[in-house]
Amino acid sequence: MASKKIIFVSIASIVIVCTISLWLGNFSINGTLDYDLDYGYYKDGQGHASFNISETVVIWETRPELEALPELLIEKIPLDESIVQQVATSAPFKIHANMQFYQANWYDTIELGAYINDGKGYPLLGLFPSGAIRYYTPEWSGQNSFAPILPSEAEAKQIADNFLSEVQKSGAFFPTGEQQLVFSEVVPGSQSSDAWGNLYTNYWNVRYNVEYNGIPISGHYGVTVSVGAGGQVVAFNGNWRNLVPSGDNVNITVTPQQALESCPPPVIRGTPVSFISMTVQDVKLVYSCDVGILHDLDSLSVVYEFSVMLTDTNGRQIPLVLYAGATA
Amino acid sequence: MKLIGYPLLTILVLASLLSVGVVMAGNDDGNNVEIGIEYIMDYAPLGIWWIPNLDNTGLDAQGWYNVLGNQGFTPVFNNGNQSADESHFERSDDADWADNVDFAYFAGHGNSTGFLFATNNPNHLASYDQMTLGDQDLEWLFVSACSVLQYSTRWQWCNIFASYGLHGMTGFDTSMPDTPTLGSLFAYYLTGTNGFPLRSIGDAWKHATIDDIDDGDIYAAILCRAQYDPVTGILTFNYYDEQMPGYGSGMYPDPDPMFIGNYYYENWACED
Repeated sequence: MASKKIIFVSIASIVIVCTISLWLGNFSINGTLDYDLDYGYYKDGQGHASFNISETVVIWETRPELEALPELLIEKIPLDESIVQQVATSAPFKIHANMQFYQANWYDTIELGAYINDGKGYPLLGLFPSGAIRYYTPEWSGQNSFAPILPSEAEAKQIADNFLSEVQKSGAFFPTGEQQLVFSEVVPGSQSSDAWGNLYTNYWNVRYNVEYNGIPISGHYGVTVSVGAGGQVVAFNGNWRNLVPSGDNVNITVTPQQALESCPPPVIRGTPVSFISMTVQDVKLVYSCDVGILHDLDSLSVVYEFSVMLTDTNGRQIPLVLYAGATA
Repeated sequence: MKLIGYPLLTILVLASLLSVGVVMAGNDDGNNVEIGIEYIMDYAPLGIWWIPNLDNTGLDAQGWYNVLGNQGFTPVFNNGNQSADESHFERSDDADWADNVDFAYFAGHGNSTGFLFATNNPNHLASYDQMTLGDQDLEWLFVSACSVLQYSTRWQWCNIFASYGLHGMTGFDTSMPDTPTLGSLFAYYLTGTNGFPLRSIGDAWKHATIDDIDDGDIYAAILCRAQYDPVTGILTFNYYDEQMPGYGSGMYPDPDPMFIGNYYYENWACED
C-alpha cells in the first residue's frame, strides 16, 4: 500500500512542460469569446466548440518515470428480487406500496429494480450487477414543482452526506475500504421555466468523485445526489463498481508523449476554435471507467491525466484536463 | 348592448371553433405514427474548415428509427448526407418531409440558431426563423445536435411552433459529444422496449441523455407547450408528460388555442 502511494505521489509530482502548437488555418477569432471550458469544449456566442490539432510540436523537458498501477477488476454481484425489495424498502428509498419489479435488458448487462406502478412509474430504484445503483422520484421529473425553495448549497451537501450514510446501511453495494468518495461540488442539476418564462433551479446536484487508494477514477464513475425542494433527495446515481484487485499490475506500454500525441481532439457536434497553444503542466496515472452503467465492463483501464493550460491568440489562459490511454 | 354584444360574441366564438376544426381535420392526419430521420456525417462537400465530419450521427438517428420501426411506427423517410436538406425542415418544403410525419429526428452539427446540413439551399443551416412546424402533421422534433435549445436563446425556438401544431422539441443547451447510441436509447425509454418502465417523452429524453452522455458539464434541454394557471402561475398541463401513441396514456390533443403562448423549458446536467 505504501509503495503504491509513493509511486502515485512521485507520478503526481512530476512536472512536464511541453508546448503544442495548434494550427488550423488563417482564420481569426471574431468577437469576444466567453470561455466556458469543459472537457475540451469552448463556448462562444454560437455555442460550444472543440479544437483540432493538425500540427503538433512536443518538447519534453522531463521524461517521467511512470510506473504501473494495480489492476482492478469489476466483480459482478448476484441480484434477485428479494435483494431489490430489501434495498427498495430501506430507509433512504422507502418504496413500499404497489411495488412492481422490472428487469431491463441493456446493451450487455441487466438492471433489476422496483418502482411504483402509478402510470408515471416513480419512485424507481435500479440495481446493476456491477454494483451501480440509481434512484428517481417524481420530483426529479422537474415540472411538478413551482418555484421550489431549495436548501443552501452547504445544506444540500449535508443532506447528501446523510443520504449516502443511509444508502450504506440499505443492503445495496456501497464502496468502502480502499474505494473512497471525495466530495467535489454542488451545482444546479436542472432548471425549469415558470409561467412568465423565468428559470428557477429544480434541484442541486451534489457531486462526489471516487478514488481508489487515493488514485482518482475518471470517466463514467462518480456519485450524484440531487437535492430538491424542502431538502428532499429527488434522485441519486451511484455510478460506482464493485472493484477487486487482481493481484497483478497493469503494464504501462505507452509513454506520456506517445499518449498525448495520439490523443484525439474531442469530437462534438459544434464548431471548433483555432489558434491555440497548449502547455502541459502535469501528468499522472489515474484509473478510468470507459463505459456507463448500461454497459458491462470487466476492469478499469489506466490512463494518463494531463493538466494543461491553453492560451489563445489574445494571451488568455484556460485550464483543461485531458485523458489519454496508457496501455496499447 | 346585450342584443349587439352577445350575437357578435357568439359569431366570433363559432368562427374560432370552426377555424380550429378546419385546421385540425385538414392538415394533421391524426394517426401519430409516422417517423422520419435526417443525419449528416459527411460535411466535406461544404468545404468549410469549421464544420468537420461526424462519425456517429448515422448510427444515432438510425438507432432511433429502427427501434421505433420495429415497434410498429411507420418509417417514412431516412435521409443521410446529401439526401438530407435544410429545406425539409423549413417552410419551403417541410410539408413533404418533417411536417409530413409525426416524429422527426435530426443528428448533426448545430448551434443556437439552427442545425447544419451538407447542402447549400441556400446556406446549409435550417434556421429557426425559417421554420414553422406542426401546421401539417409534426408533433415532436428531436434534435441531436449542439446548442439547439441553448439556454440564452431558448425562446426564439418558440417561433417554430405552428398554431395547433408542434407539441415540443428536444435538444441541448450546450455542446454534445458525437454519440452513436443516444437515439436507440431514447427510443428504448419511449417504448419500454428493453423492460425498463415506460417513460414520458420528456423523461425519456432526460433519461437517455443522462445515461448515454454521462458528463455533468453537458446540459440537455426540452421546449414544449404547457398550460399554467393564469392567476397563480402554477403549471397545470405539460406536453413534457406525453407518451408515445399506443403507450401508457398516449398523446395529448393538439395545444389549446387558449394557451398557445405558453411554453415550458427545462435543462439538466447529463450526469449519471
